[in-house]
Amino acid sequence: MGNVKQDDKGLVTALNAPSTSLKTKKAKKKTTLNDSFIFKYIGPITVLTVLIFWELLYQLNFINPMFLSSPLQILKVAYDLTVSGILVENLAFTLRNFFFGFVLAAIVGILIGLVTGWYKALGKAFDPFLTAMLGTPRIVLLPLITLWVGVGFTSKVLLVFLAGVFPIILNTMSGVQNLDPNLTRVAKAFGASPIKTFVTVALPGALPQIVAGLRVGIGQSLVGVIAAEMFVSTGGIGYFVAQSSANFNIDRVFVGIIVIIVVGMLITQSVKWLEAYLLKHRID
Amino acid sequence: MLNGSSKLHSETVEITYPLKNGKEIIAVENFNMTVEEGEFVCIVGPSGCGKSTLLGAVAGFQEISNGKLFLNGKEIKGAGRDRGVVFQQASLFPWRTAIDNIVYGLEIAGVSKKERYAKGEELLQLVGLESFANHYPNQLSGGMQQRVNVARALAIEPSLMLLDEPFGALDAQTREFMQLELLRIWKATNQTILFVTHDIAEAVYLSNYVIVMTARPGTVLEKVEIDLPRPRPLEIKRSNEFIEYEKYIWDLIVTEKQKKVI
Repeated sequence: MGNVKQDDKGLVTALNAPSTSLKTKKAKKKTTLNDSFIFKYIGPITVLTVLIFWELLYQLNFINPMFLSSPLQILKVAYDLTVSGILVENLAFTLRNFFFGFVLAAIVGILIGLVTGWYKALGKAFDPFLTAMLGTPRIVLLPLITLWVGVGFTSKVLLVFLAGVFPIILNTMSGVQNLDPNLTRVAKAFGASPIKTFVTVALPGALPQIVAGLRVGIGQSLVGVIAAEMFVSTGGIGYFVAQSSANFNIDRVFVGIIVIIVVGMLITQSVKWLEAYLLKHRID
Repeated sequence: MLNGSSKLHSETVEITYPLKNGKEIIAVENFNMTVEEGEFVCIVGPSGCGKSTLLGAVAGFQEISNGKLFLNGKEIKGAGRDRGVVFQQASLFPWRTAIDNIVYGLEIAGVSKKERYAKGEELLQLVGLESFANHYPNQLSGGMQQRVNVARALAIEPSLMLLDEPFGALDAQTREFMQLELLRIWKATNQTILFVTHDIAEAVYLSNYVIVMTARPGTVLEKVEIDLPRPRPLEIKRSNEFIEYEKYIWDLIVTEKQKKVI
């Protein structure tokens, strides 16, 4: 009986002040998980935990140092390599190859994409090549490239270019092809010439797709530059990793891999910034 | 023909569509109409009667297969800046702010930057959006977008405004308010307006006269003069005279529709 009475009391207060009772419940719920320190930093915390666990295993000799390095070991070797200049030198080499190849891919890719998107017949004519190349790992062209231009700077730029250019073409092309016909009709209603329609409607209209193409292209170009360096090079991060592996220098292999990861993340982030700047009308 | 003084004149206009089997379908047939300077004319008719097609022909998007269309005494050949067109979809450029959208036509026409933005400000004020100049379309409501759309068409100071169900996609309340606003803008700019709609009340409320079209092939069934005083407050829609007009046009269209079915 006593219990029932107490329940009744609780019910009565809840009924009298439904909004306050709801509020307190909500507030309580919020502080439990979503606002907690752990939830906020769960990403970095996980990474840190894995690293500590990894280091512990290494220190307790559970890991054969022949095959796996440790976080502290990697840091130490990375520091040494940075001080000696080896890392910077190789990184500069890679970035130079990447930069030239990718800028070329972006310029050529966007131009071809715009033209093939605007002129439907050209787009159709070009389509088989695009389909063939998009489904093929472009690294397969490397032996052909080395046969044509040797193993120097040009070979790497060319492979980076080929790796990046096709996704850029495809995205730019479909961006122009899928323009909102209502917008081109508006341009027509205002008496815009085809060239003006292209500049004022097709170009800005396809921009989101162009940026998407650049993002895909940048990733593939990065794959291209590392692969090219692993196979035919005497410098660059890709070469550095392959060489260190051949010499059974596992610490250096890890340093190289981590540098590539960081570069990849930085480049992806910079595309995101570019996207936010170019497409600011999409943000509410 | 004495069409030199009329704003818009159509003479036995016929518009056909090619079908896939090689035959043609006649959308509009023997369409005769005259719109005078400063008039507000609405075209209504059963759905599929070719009213939008006809407006497209006046805009210059649609080829006519027979007859002639004159604007200010000159035959219409293709689209041009002497006509401002407003479609049901606001079709604003999403990457341009409100004011940049409004000045688009002036930009195409090669008007100087200073001049076109002065005009843009003026029009923003006219359509009541002066504080939204730098908003992108996705930050504006449907009604606001359509205001920008109307302002964009007005910016080039067209000789004739063509509106194709411009408020069709708006909710009922916004639509009524936009009708009121359109009449105010029409008064302020002394424009001539040809307006296509399927909403009879809208047509009666806005027009000097309503052109009622037959079912396909569409032609003029009757021209109904709307003898209601101006300015017209929204309450006029509840007056007996207004309801009479509405009922009269409704009956015309329903009879047309039944003819088609039989």
